Parts: sequence; C-alpha cells; structure tokens
Amino acid sequence: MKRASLRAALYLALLAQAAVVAMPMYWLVVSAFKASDEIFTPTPRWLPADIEWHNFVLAWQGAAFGRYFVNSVLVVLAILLLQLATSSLAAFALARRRFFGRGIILLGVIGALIIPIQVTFLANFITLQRFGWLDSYWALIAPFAASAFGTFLLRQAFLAVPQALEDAARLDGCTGLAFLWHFLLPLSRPTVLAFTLVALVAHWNDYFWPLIVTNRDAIRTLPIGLAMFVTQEVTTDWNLLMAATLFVAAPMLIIFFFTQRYFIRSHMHSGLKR
Amino acid sequence: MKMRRIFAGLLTAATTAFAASAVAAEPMQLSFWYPVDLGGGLAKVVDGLVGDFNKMHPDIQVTATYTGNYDVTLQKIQASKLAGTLPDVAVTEISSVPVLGALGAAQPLDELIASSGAKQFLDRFWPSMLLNCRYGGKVYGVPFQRSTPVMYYNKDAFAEVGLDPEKPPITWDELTSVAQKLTKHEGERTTRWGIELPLEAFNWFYYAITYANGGETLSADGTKVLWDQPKNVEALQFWHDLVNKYKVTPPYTPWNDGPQEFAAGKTAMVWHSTGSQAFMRQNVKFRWGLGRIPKHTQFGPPSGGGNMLLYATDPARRKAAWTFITWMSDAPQAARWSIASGYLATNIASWDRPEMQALIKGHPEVLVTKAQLADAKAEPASAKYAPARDILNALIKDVLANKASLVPATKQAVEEANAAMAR
Repeated sequence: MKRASLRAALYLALLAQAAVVAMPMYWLVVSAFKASDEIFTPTPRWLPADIEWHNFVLAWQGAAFGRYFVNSVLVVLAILLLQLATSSLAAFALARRRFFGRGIILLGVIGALIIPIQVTFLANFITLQRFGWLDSYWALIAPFAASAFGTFLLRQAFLAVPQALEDAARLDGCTGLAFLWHFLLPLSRPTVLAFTLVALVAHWNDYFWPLIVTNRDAIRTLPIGLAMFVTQEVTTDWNLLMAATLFVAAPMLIIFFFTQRYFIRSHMHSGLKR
Repeated sequence: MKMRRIFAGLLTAATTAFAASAVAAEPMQLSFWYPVDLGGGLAKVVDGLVGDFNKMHPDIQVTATYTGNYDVTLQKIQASKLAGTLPDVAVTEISSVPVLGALGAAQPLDELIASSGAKQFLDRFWPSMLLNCRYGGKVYGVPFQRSTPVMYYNKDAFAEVGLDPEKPPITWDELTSVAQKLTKHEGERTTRWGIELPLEAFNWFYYAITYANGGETLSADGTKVLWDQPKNVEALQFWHDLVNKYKVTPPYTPWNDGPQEFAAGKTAMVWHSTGSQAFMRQNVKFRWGLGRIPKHTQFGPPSGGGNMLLYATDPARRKAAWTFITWMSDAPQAARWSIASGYLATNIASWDRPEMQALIKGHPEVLVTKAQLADAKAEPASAKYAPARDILNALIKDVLANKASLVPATKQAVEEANAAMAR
C-alpha cells in the first residue's frame, strides 16, 4: 500500500516535470496555427479558433528556406564527419598511447573547452578572410572541424576500455587504427552517439557565425531564415515565426525521437558487457 | 516549320544578347546590407526597390543582403572592417553613425553631397531626420528606414468607456486620466491595460518622456549622461507612477509583443514605431487611430530607425554607391518605401506625390506621423554610448519593477555610465 502510493507520487512528480518540458513545445505548435490576433489574448487560448495552415505557406515564402535546408544539412553533416574523425583520432592518441607532451596537449584540450567560442570569432573571421574563404561553405565548416569537447569526451570513453582487450586484439593482429575502428568506437557507442546528438543540435542551431561569414542566400543556413522574422524595431509576427520554427526544428526532433531509443539500448549493452 | 522558326528566333535573340553583353562594360557590382524584418514582407519591398534600381541602371548591379537585426548588422560591419571586407552601402541604426565614423568604417559624404547640389540635396529631407546623420562635423548618413514612436489607440475601446474616439490624449495629465478609464480589472487581475510602453534595447520611450518634459539625456559633447537631472528624474517618476501609482501600464512589456497585445485587445493604447503601421493595418480588427506621443512641456518624439551609410573608398565605387543612395532616398522611392512599410517618408517632396495623397485619404492617421516629423528630436549617440545604453535599460527595468529606488539608483547608474563612456 505504502509502496503503491509512493509510486503514484513519483509518477505525479515525473508527470509535472514532463509538463514543464512539454509546455513550450505545445505552445510552439499551437501558436504556429493561430491567427495573429490570437497570439496574445488576455486569457491564453489553448487551441486556435481556426487552423491557419496558411501560416506555413507565408513562413516558407518568407525566406529561401528550401535552399537553407539543403545548406544546413550539408554543413552540419560535414562538420559532424570531420569532428568525429578528428576527435576519435586525437582521443585515441591521448587515451591509449604514451608520448612526450601528452599531458600538455591534454591540458590544451581541456583549456580549449573553457574558452567561450565567441572569443575565437574575430580571429577565425580574419583567418578565413586571409584564406579567401569568407562567404563560402568552407567558412561555415572549417572553424568547426575539430572539437575539444568531442576529443575529451571520447578520450574518457576510450580510457574505460581495458588494456587486456587491446593486448588480446594485438595477439590477433588487430593493432593501431584497426583497434580504434573495430573495438574502441563500437565499445564507446553511447558516447559517440551522445556527442553526435549534441554536435548536431549545436550546429543546426548555430546562428551568429553563419550570419557573420555569409552574404548570399545560396550558402546560408536555416537559423538565419528564422531570425528574419524577428526585428528590433517593428513588431514580430509570432505565428509565422512559430510556424517556421516548427519546420526548422522538425528534423532534429525526428532524429532525437529515433536515436533516443537506440541511445538507451546501447547504454544497456555497454552496461552488460562490463 | 513552326518549330524551326521559333528556334531561329531564339538563336537570333541569344546572339544579340551575347553581342550586347560583349559590347557593354561589366556593370559595377555593389553590395548593400540591410537589417529589416521579413514577417511583414519588408525584405521583399527592399528586394523590389533594388531590382528596379538595377533595371534602370544597367551599369550598376546592386546585391542586397539581409544582415540580421540592427545590433548584429553593426557587429558584422565591425568585423568586416577588421577583415577588409566592408560592403559598399549598409543600413544601420541611427545611433551607430558616430560608432562607425570613429571606427573609420563609414566614409563621410560631404564631397558627394556637394556634387549633388550640397544644401539643395540636404534640403530634400525633413531637418529632424538629418539630426542623427552627422559625426565630427561631417555628414555620414542618408535617412532611409526612419521612424518615430507614435501612440496607437483603440477607438472602439475609447467609445466603450465614453471617451471621444477622435481625441487621443495629448498631454501627460490627459494620458493618465484616459488610461485610468481604459484599464479594466477582474479582481486582482488586469484584463486590459490602459496603455503599454514597450521597452527595447534603445530605450526609446525613456527619451520620449524626457524630451516631452523638456529634458536632454546626453551632454552635447556626448561624454556625460544626464539621467539625474531634475527633468529626467521627473520623467521617469511619471512612468513609474503610470506603473505603480495609477496601475494603468505593466512594469515591463517586451518590445515585439506590444503591437500584438494591442491587436488582441490586451491594451487599449500602445506606443510603438511608425514602422509597425503595416502590421496594424493587416492585423487589427477594430477601429484604431494614431496619436502623437503626449507632451508635458513640449512635443519631442525621439527619432529612430536606420540610415544608409557608405563604406566604399574607391572613387568609382563611391560614385556608383552614391547613385544608389540618392535614388533610394529620392521622392518616388521614399514614398513607395513609406507606403509599404509605415516607415516615415523622410523626403519632403514625397508627401506631395499622388500615391502618398491616396494613402492619406485612406489612412488619414498617417498625418500624425507627418506632424511628428516636424518636432522629432535626435536619439542620443556617441562613439562610446553603447554601454550607457545597456545601463539605462537595466535602470528603467529595475525602477519600474520597484526593485530599485529611483533617485539613488539613477545616481549610481549615471556614475557607472559616465565611467564606462570615459574608458
């Protein structure tokens, strides 16, 4: 009896927490379908009076969203692949090899973690200008080719793999990068996935940097399209902004929805193996 | 047979086009950066204007680029200055004229203005709109998307509480009493505010009430803020009273929410940019009107919005960019831009154009914006004003929310701001 009521209380608390998280999402969806004068009513309206599908048409036409979508996908995938490649190689060296200066390099990586990204903007901007890469895909991708966060995260994961396993693998002729590919990465799948998700979302949402380094719709990304609905002087059409936010956020939500299950499963896997 | 004829026609057309392009010199490529919203479709109006300019000037090809809001556009220009990738022309918020002038990014226009008739050129604009265009004795800006705040009011709500819908309040006392009549409560909750004074990063309405009280907010040399002067303190006290004594306005309304809260009936009056007229025309379902920003001792709405600044240094580019700037600010374009957006028609002659007269016929309230053009005042600006702007913003929020007491908090804010500007 006591256990049942405890359980009920727990579920209630979880439900309340879920509501707090879900509420903004719900409001986003509802607002996207509302008419403009329904956004701010003296008493909040939980459902739109009429479903305004037209908001989506207007929002989509508000900026070159088709092109932005293609660009966002290209840029984010390129960044992700580069980061995974550089981070796993660096993490492999830092976690499993002994060499002169390893500690210093690791300290550098951790130091880079602490530096806010904004500090690097101006230096990166000028470097890209010298390379002649401004206003190109390179400007969007190159500064993010390496990730201190990814390197550190993967290093920690690689450290957890027992040395005995590497010794056994070596006996079977699986050494160096082959060991990284066949053992370290698969064994660290939860970390790799977690990092992938974080990197995906961060770069999908990145606004300031793409806006600063690009001047053409042809290479611009989705958040710039979203920002076009927000102004400092005249008013904002919140319903259109919410409609646009919905289709911009949709891919991330879908990816999260699917990988989430996979994510939990790989967690359990690694738990069993240990 | 028919196919062949079409084919032959296409071929001729193609060769002629090719020949023509080979003969004509490469058009001068110019970049134009602008911060404008898209929700209201204004970016499309800019694209339309630029497209027409390009058609009429085959030797110049302007590419328009959206560059985020005013603050981000300024950051983008500052970064571009360091990298040497400045645009040829860009629109920035008016108070950034001294910032960009001091940085050496924007270039003075005096010799170009002289080539266009000097005084004759400047006299095309309302004098109030030229106030925020100069830095160090030189002209840097040409008015483009310029605005003042105006008071939007709900005529139906006025009629409902027995007020004359054609008479918006024009003094502080009238404003207070009208707002009290319009405010509706349901128990502890306010279901309709009498008025909203939304706050944005530029602190427009602080300047509005200070100017209306005959005060100034920045010393003439731009080194000291004057927020602790009696007229300023009195003005902020008035705002504080509207919030805390009369309870006719909320302590804080985010800038972008104001017009939509007005459209939803959440407030009966709202101060906002003239640039929000297009939104109101599209979205407000009740009868509404425009009133001037009420006076205490004088009318004096602050001006705001964006100027066109020129960044090119190469003489040929400067000349082409100047052709673009003068065309954009010419009467037909100024009228077209004003009608589409609600931004002010800064070119005096544009008010006499038939399309503008037609607009006035359908929307007589536009004349209120014209009246304000006559007595608009400058927005405070100096090369180092930015930190003061943020300190003032925090001060207003804290005082209105009763988190800080007006006089001591103002005194402290003035010290901080003056120190920050002296750095």
